[in-house]
Amino acid sequence: MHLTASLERVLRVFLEDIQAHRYGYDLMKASGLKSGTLYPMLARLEQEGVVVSSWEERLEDLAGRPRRRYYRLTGEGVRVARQLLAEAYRAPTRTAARGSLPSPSGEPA
Amino acid sequence: MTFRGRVEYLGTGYGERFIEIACEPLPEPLRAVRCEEWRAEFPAILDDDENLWPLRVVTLLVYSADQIRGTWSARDRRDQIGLTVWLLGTGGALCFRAVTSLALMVLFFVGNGLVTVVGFVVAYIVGMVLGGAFGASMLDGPWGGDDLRKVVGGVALKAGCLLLVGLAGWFAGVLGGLFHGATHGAIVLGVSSGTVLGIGGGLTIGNDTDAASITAALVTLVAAAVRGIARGVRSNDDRTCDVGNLLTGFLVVAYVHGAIVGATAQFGIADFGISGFLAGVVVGAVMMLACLLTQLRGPHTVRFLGIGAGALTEGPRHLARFR
Repeated sequence: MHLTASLERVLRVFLEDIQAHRYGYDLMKASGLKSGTLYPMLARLEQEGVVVSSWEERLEDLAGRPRRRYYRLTGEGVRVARQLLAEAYRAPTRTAARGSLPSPSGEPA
Repeated sequence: MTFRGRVEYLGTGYGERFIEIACEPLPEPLRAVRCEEWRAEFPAILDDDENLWPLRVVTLLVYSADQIRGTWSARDRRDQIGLTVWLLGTGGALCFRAVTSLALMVLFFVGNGLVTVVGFVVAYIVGMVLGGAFGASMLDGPWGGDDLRKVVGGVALKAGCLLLVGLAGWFAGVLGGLFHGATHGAIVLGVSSGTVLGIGGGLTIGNDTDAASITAALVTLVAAAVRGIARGVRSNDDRTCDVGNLLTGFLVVAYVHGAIVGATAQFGIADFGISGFLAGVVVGAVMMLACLLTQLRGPHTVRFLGIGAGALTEGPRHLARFR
């Protein structure tokens, strides 16, 4: 898998809380990506087994709104994401984009 | 309804329309899922307390419109690649038809075996590579997919295709040879000549297009089978029709070729010479024309009438989209 700047942002958002189930708009806001970039990326990540998606099930809590589709990292996805970000972290050309985002281990920087 | 309510209602309506447009290029099982998923984000956008309500409506519209960019740009990339590969596949194969025909004439009229063999090998390899690339261009990702990877992935199938195309040519040649041999009381000679002609003739007597078509048909059929096993067959009429066309096209090409070989041998028109080449050119041209006409007219039932050219369906469809 080739790590692009967009993918890096998404993976970092997922690694902030690897147990969290995130829906599309939530990921958009957290990563700063547009929908036309984010969703194809999520589809690709799901196809490659990095993330897994599921429909919202708690129907009584929906209050009339449609079900959302949630995404989270798989076990393998956590390993891959950390590995990719660790490699990027070591690359000198990519250090400028990190800011206060968490380190590849998932811990706050 | 308040002014805010009206604006949100209007924004949601346009947003839903944008989502519908965005979903159009997606294959059917995925389309419904993505439409539902993307529409389900509307309440979250409209309830987002971090923005003022007019900005939320704008965000919803931008969100929806950008989905169009995401799905349609992926489709455009696929079409561009498909068109390019198709042009290379069919156009290139037609060019090499001249080369292989020249090689054939050298074989039979000049007798310079070395030149013929070199020409044959070059034409064979290039024809197969182009044909395989053409077939690989038909491999379809689940969502605009990683097209280049799939085109490159088609290379892995070429080894198998080479064997299968050779077998198809051999089969057709044997039929012609058997017919010729049976009517002349020389079965063994007929089979031998048919075998040679089947392997060589199928790829040299003006039949590079056949070779490319057969390759494309086989690659696509294998891909369709793999895809069907992996994800379930798509309920996409075009794709189903394509597969049917390709299979039928493959069979028709093989049998027409056999018939031409048999006829030229039986009646001694030129005994594997110029008339065989001309017949191949005519059949190929008719097939391509039928394919083009049926594709541009569109309806699936009409498309099926172009079964002889079924293996070339994808390219004209790309052309039609670009017009």
